[in-house]
Amino acid sequence: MSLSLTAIGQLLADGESGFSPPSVEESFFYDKLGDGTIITSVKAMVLLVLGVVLIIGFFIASARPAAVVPGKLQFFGESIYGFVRNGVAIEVLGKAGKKWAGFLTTLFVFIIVMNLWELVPFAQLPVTSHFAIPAVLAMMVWVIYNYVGIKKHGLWGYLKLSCYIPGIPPAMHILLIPIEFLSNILLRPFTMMVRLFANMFAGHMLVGVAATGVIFQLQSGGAGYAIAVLPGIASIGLVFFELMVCALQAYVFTLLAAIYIESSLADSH
Amino acid sequence: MSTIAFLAAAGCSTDTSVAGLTAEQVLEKCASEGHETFALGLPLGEIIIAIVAFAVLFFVLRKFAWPQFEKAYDARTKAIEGGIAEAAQAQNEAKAALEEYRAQLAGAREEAAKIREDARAQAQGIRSDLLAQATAETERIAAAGRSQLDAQRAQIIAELRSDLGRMSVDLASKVVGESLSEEAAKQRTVERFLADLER
Repeated sequence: MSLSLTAIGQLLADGESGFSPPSVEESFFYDKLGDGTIITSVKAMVLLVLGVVLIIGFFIASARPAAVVPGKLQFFGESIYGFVRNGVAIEVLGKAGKKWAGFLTTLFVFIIVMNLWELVPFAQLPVTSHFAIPAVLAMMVWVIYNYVGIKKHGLWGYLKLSCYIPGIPPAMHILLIPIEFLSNILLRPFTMMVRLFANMFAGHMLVGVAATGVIFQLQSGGAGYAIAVLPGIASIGLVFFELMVCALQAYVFTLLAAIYIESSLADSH
Repeated sequence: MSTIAFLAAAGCSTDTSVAGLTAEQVLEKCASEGHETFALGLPLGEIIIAIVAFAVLFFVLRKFAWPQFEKAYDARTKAIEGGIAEAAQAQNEAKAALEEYRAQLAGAREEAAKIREDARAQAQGIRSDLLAQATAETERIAAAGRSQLDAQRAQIIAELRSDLGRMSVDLASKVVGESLSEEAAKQRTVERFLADLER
């Protein structure tokens, strides 16, 4: 590949009548604090803190009654908690799942809210598209699943559990132990953080390009008024698509965290 | 990888002049020129804010939200299980009561049949008793009547016999005592005799 997508995009844009799609800088890093080495987007950080405050407010209001016959708010909160508790934690971790339900629900709710900022009017910036946030979450999961594994099996026992596959020809271990070590111990957090980051990053770019496309067509007038319908439809469709991606990525991240913790707590490979 | 592709991946603007520079130098140049920010960068401030925010969220929810939900779940489970146990108990009680009523009903029926049977037997007994009594009474009355009649007849016969004897004697004596020559006397005598007879 000699040309990157950005370069192709720019060539195409030059060939046509001057439509330039929003750049990464314009989409994500338009309000840096200073030179952007400490904080690359003030808005993203404001949304992050606001999101945490909203989640706390919602769940405290929802959990306070703890009534046998729940009201609407309690029912909603319980449904979210029950979804992760029963559908992820207990489903994956079995009996130990109840202990992990709180952490996994926190993870799920945090990620889905930070994702959904992408679609909230005026916010419209997924906090998880800033690489630091998925990186922090993935490293946290990495620390946790390694810690519980070492705590339960001891360092040597945990490494053996993670990397040694029983019941294969001995010569294969030369090949498989490094692969297993790489995939189970080293690469898991990176796939996790990149999966979440890349989905939200690309999603935000897509929505941004479609939306600026509408504006560009309307501004160019004439046939543009008719052509604007196409990116218009795409914008609306993409918002619903992103809604799905936001929920799905939060679910996948939570599910993988549960599966990794389970693999550390398991008694056999 | 070409320089342009590298610059794009690093988020640098592709018109930066980078002839004869190493990769590190290019990135440094990007940053120092204030061009585009590296999308895969890890700004320290964002990391710290993310860690603190997540930690606060985790501990607050762990303290205030999840235990309350678990409490509600437990209470609900208990309420449902209690309700089921209660319903089962009520059903058992109802079943027991029904059995008891059935048994009582069967007993009552049996008793009624027995009473009816007894009554019939008793009635039969009374009827045959009365019949026997009546027959005996009839016999007795008939026998009494018959013996009375016999006695009366014997008495009458005896009386008649004695009367007839006496009368015959009287008659004979009268017939013998009267003078039959006189027609009038004869007539008187006859009439007196007849009158005596009629008396």
